[in-house]
Amino acid sequence: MVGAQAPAGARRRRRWGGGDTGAAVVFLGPSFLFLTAFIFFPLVYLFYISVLNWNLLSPPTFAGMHNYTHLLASPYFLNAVRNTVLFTVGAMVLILPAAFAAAMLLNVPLRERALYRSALFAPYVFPLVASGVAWSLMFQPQVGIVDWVLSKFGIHGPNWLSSGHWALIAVIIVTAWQYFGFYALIFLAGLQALPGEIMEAADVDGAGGLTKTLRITLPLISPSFFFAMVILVIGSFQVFTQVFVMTSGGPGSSTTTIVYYLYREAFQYFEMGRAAAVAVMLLLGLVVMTLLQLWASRRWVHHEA
Amino acid sequence: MRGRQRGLVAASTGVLVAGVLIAASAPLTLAQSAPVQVSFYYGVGGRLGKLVQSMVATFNRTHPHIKVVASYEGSYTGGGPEQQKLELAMAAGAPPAVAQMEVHSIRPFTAAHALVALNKFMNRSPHDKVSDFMPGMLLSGEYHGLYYAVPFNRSVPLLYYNTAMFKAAHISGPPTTWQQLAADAKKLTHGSGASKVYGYEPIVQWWQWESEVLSNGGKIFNHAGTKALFATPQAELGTLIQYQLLKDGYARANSGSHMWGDTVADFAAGKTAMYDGSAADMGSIQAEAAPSVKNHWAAALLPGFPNHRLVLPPGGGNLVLFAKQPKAVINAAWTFVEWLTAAPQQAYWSEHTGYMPGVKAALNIPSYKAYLASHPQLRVPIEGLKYQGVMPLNRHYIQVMGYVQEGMTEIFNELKPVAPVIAQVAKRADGIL
Repeated sequence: MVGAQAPAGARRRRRWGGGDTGAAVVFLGPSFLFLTAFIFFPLVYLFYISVLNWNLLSPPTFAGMHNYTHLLASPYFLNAVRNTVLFTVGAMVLILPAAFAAAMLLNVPLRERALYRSALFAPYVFPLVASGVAWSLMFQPQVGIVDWVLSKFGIHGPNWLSSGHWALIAVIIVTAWQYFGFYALIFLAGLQALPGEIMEAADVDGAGGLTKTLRITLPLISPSFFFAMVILVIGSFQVFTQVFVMTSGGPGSSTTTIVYYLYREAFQYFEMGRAAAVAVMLLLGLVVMTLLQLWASRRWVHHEA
Repeated sequence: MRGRQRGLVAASTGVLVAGVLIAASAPLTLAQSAPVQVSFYYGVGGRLGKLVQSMVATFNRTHPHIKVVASYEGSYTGGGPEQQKLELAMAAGAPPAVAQMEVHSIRPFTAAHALVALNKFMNRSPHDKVSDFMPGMLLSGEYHGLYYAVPFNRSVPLLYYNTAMFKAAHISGPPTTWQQLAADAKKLTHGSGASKVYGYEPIVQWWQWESEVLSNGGKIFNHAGTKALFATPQAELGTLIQYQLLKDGYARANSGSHMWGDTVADFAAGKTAMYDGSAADMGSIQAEAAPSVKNHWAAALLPGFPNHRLVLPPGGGNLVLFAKQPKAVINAAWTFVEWLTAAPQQAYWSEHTGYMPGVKAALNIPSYKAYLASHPQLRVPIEGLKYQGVMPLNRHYIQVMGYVQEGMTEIFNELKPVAPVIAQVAKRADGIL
């Protein structure tokens, strides 16, 4: 019987191209179909729309590379790129050091540690629209709480959301408040995975707190830093909700970011081809930046052998 | 045996014929009894949205052969969420039968042959003939001599002022020119810090800007609609006067997504003596007014300029019918539109919202007459219809107004000098015209 079954099994394997391949097709097929429908096909279609002139109402016409050349020559698009880069740098400078410092504090064995962790993480679970509306009110000149607090220190607060200089900073502050706890949690996970014996050895050698942080902790949690930087850059380049709720991209175009620019082109001006070209350029830009980060990470990210 | 066979055949034939008859008559019976479904996209939320739903419910109750399904699709403002969904529905080949549409946004839809020309319906209607509508109300829906839209929630920009503050400053009445507004704003401004009362607060909005440009003899585009003509001292004067007031501290301006609501709230709280809003703000002002403002506010026409005729842009929304629907649906949709635009419904809508009635006959309804007598400010937008102008509605109009809007925030919020900003906006507009 055993001898009689073996050739049949072999035939089945041949038909499916081998036992493992057959199983792979069965298990990966649904995911592949899902990804095709919702990722691969839309991506290809996006490239296709980006070479069209289409306002949804009239039949589309072929525009070649015109949408791309128009964007690259547009000072308004380049301004949106500049704002996005400024936003990203600002968010990174505010969030990463503060989140690391908070993670260090949260790693200290305190009795109320769970409470502090929850409090720091709480802003992350608030809907961004609600945070944006609340902060818009807090940034109101004269009557807002931000200017009131500043006035207690003798500082005359700026007209935050009406100023081309301060509006982007206000948006960065809200973003830092919202996401700071999330990044602190990433660093905390990194800190808790540190091998205790290295710290003990450093203690025995008489290393101080600062030395241990700079020479041991930071290098060892550099993979967490790398991960945080990659997702922060990707997230920052996609910033939209805060801008939509707090400033509508203004005053002027001082807080218009790439995705807000895309939104306006697509859904306020109905220039679908141009909006798709923005999306393509954003995608390619993010791929390039992530590859650059990966390349640069070889120099500073410490991977355990 | 043969007789049994014959009987069987006869019986079978009888059953078959009966079945065919029943099957054939069933859809007919269903078609006769099932109401024609009319989908209706609208774009006013909150209290106004509830009012729309209650009117639709009344229509459905009184017209059992039609069922209107009204759905709120986000704000109807030009380029807003409702328009986005309408364009997407068009692209998907499934537009609604009826939609509320912002007056400036109609042109791209007519140019794409998406809407039904209403002339033949209007001509045979007892109350929706061209001459039945208030003057100027049909201009925004006219394209190549055909009418594609009828008025529903229509408004004009207005000036609101605090009568108690005017009295205290010994100012006899609302300003009729922008120069006079500037002089009044200086007299009305007093106090400092958080308790400062500003003489004027502009709505940072291209809608009012249209009036300022056209009322001083300026132009928005050339005749062919291929070049922006608003970067001239004449067209910029209104903006310049407001900029100077802001710069000198006699006015303040809000910014951001809630700018309009914040400006109404400031006026209702007595923080400003004048602001330029919409006829549709009346309900909000009265609802939000502080006790000191409650019975001390009034509306006036927007100021103009000496030696020029005032021009007020149309505002609010119209009703349109989408083409490429079955004839029965289009007919049912028109029945609904005709009902909404009838005098009793228009008077009811106006009383409860502050929007203007679209048809003249509404002014003869005794209850509405009495309402106007007790709410004289509602007469102001009706008076404003005399000054309603035709906007150059080309395909890119909303996009150009988006650029103007950005420029206005630079001038009013960031206090950047007027002429260079407007020149930049005009250059940007030329790039797409």
